Amino acid sequence: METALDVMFMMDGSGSMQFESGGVWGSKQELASAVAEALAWLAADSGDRVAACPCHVSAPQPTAMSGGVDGLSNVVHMLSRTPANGLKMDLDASAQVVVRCMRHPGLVLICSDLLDPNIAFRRALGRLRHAGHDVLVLQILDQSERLFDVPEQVLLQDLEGGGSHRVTAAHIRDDYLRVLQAHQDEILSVCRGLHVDHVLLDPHESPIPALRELLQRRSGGTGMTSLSG
Amino acid sequence: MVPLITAGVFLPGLLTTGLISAVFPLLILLLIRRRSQAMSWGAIGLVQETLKRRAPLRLLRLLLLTVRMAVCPIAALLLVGLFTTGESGRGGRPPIILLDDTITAWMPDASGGRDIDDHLDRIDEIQSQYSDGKPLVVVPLSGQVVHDLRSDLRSQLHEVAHGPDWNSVRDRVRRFMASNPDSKIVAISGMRHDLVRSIDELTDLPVVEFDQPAQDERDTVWITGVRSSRAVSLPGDPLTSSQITVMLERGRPEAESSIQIQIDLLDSSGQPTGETATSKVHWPSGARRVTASIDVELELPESAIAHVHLPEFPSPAASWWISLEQRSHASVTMITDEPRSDFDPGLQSSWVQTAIEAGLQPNQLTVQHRSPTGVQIDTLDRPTPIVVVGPELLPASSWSALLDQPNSSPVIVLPRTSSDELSMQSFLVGSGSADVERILTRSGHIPIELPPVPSEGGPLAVLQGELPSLLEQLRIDRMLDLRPLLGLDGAKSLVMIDEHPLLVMLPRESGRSSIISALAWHPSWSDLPLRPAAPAILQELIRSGAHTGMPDPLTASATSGPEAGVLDGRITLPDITSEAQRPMDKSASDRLAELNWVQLDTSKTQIARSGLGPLMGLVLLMLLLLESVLTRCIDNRRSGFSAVRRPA
Repeated sequence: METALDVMFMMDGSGSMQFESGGVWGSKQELASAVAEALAWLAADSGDRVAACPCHVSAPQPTAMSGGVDGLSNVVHMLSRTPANGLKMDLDASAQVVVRCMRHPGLVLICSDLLDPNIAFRRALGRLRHAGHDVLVLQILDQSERLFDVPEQVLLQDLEGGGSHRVTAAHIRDDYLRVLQAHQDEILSVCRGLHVDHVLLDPHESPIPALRELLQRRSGGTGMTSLSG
Repeated sequence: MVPLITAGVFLPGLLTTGLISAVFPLLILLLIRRRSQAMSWGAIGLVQETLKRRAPLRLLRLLLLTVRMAVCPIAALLLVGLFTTGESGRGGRPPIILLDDTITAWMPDASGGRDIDDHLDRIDEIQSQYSDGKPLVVVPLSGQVVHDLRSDLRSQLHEVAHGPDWNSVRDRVRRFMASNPDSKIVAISGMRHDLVRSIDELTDLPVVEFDQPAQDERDTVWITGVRSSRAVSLPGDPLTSSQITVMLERGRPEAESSIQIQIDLLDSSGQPTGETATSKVHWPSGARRVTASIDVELELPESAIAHVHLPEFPSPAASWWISLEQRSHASVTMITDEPRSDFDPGLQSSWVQTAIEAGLQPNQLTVQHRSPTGVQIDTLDRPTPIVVVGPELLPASSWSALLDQPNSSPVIVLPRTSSDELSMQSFLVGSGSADVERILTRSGHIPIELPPVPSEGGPLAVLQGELPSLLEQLRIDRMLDLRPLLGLDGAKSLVMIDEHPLLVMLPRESGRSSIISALAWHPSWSDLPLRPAAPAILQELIRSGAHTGMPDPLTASATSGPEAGVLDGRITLPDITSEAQRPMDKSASDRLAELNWVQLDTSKTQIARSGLGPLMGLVLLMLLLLESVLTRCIDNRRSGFSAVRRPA
């Protein structure tokens, strides 16, 4: 007999998640919310208990872990709240809260662009895995961020209030892409080392194929669309 | 080579354009930056990391920008260098050449060469630039006429022993200009005669360039001007003396030293007479220009040439010839019972010169000391200044005879050194008034400042304006109180700040004025310096009294050394050792530059010829190479890199 699974959605609502470059799914934040709601519904429909925890406040308050319509309602309610501008993510602090809240090993989904330094990501992931949780990373990067698709002369203003930089795109694009690739390689390395699934989503593309592939991978090719591995 | 005239306009324009174009790369960069769009960005951390990694590249870009900014000016300099070295550029309208063929141009220098030969070679060089074979228009400064401009100038010019004929030059140039209004004028001269002094007469002509041998900037001394006070002789003195003022300039002012000046006398045909005079000139440390006045006593023929040169610096630039012409003598008659030895001989000499400068030109050049009892007033009918020391000594009849002579030269009245109380009775009878009988002398130390600006017009106004620059404060031990004279008809005065008159001038119907000084010009009365103040005062007194109105006398009245004095009618300052010294006379180049003349063959052009072009070419080549390397280096850092890969 299969027991109910505790599923926790760690939602990044930092300023960088507000970035939008005209993708059909809106901003990174909007895509993250849509995907999280869908997966929450899927989990609740399967009889799992669901909860959500913001990662962009200093003292995160996760919703109560519960199943059915209540749990789904709590998650949707939290996701519907628009975070204030200029907030920064504190993934490690949120992971500590999640570990304290979840009494049994469960599934933790991290929805973030993971643009902060990877040391916090590594620490948070290690903390969650050490507590016995299965972790799924949904990284959302906009196409413009991945390709550095910006006007030739541009003044880039930080969404998290960190100042601005006037750059010539052609001059720094290659170096930017190198830095981004190194950043991504490190994230993937951490995920692989801790046996964590990683999915990269883009607001310009439909998330359904990637999610379907993820679910099929986690169901072991049985054709069942369940989050439990 | 670019034609001389077009080069004068084209090359500076090219240089200016090159300098201005240096800012183009910077302007382009700024314009691009102004066009940048603002955009909110999430991955700012990655951008910061990228920029941090690219910091060395930013330095390279800055260097690249600097190199690109430097390319245009260097290219312009290179082109200027090429043009001035004669690599390209021909044609244009031939200029009118003012050829210096005056006396100094024909004089051989130490090596036997003559300026005139250099000038003619230069003309050949200029002529060769005009391929259409049209001959240059050459106007000799001496006034000689060149009949056939197509034939060799050397065969048409002959040696002259006089200076420039400016009237002839101006007329002929204007005539040529009438038929060729676009032609420019080039003066070719060694500038070793008085050409510079006469430039003012030429300023209405569009002379824009001149050719002068480059002055050597190494430690050498050259002569920038020589003038003579003409020949003078003192009474009973068999020799004839002359004061020669030599203006020297030094390439690199060195430590304190002395320079020897030698003056050789030549006859009118240029043959040495064997007469030589030498003088040592003290050169103060740090001074670039020094003016030395040398009193020479040479047995002069009626007309002679003085060759002034510096034996320690044997170069053409340190050699100068000047014509000495023995003028008719002048005299200043001094009526006094005081011994001659009480008077400064230098001061007497200055008075005599001043008489000449004032245009009186009498036929004797002497200071005649006559005792009051021996003076025959009826013999003083020549237009000479008369100085009476002790007016009470002359009887009233003598005063009347003296003052009523129809003569424009003034009578200058000084008190006797020994006067305690001066009776003006006889003098005032002669002056037509008997209101004032006695004028007492004031005594004791009376520091009296002079008024800073002229308070009224009239002949004494100039003196009143100039004296404060000579005398800040006058310490007077004794003086006559001339205030009672101020009430006389037509009296004009130079009044000091304490309201006591220093000089009072009383006009006469005959036109001959009398000027009374409150001071005896003697150290026991005041610290009025006999030089330079006293000659300046006397000069102005005589000039204004004689109504000569001569604006620009030709010689200096300072008698020895580069001390303060009056030169060319201007009072010069004594701070010869000061860095900010006011030169007694500007060098030829300075004066020409003020008149917007362009020096054709200066040391700058020499640099362009010898090294500027190749040097700039090398620098430009290196800059272009550097630009290429930097661009490639920066491009290499921008090798293709695709977007972030999706994880497998």
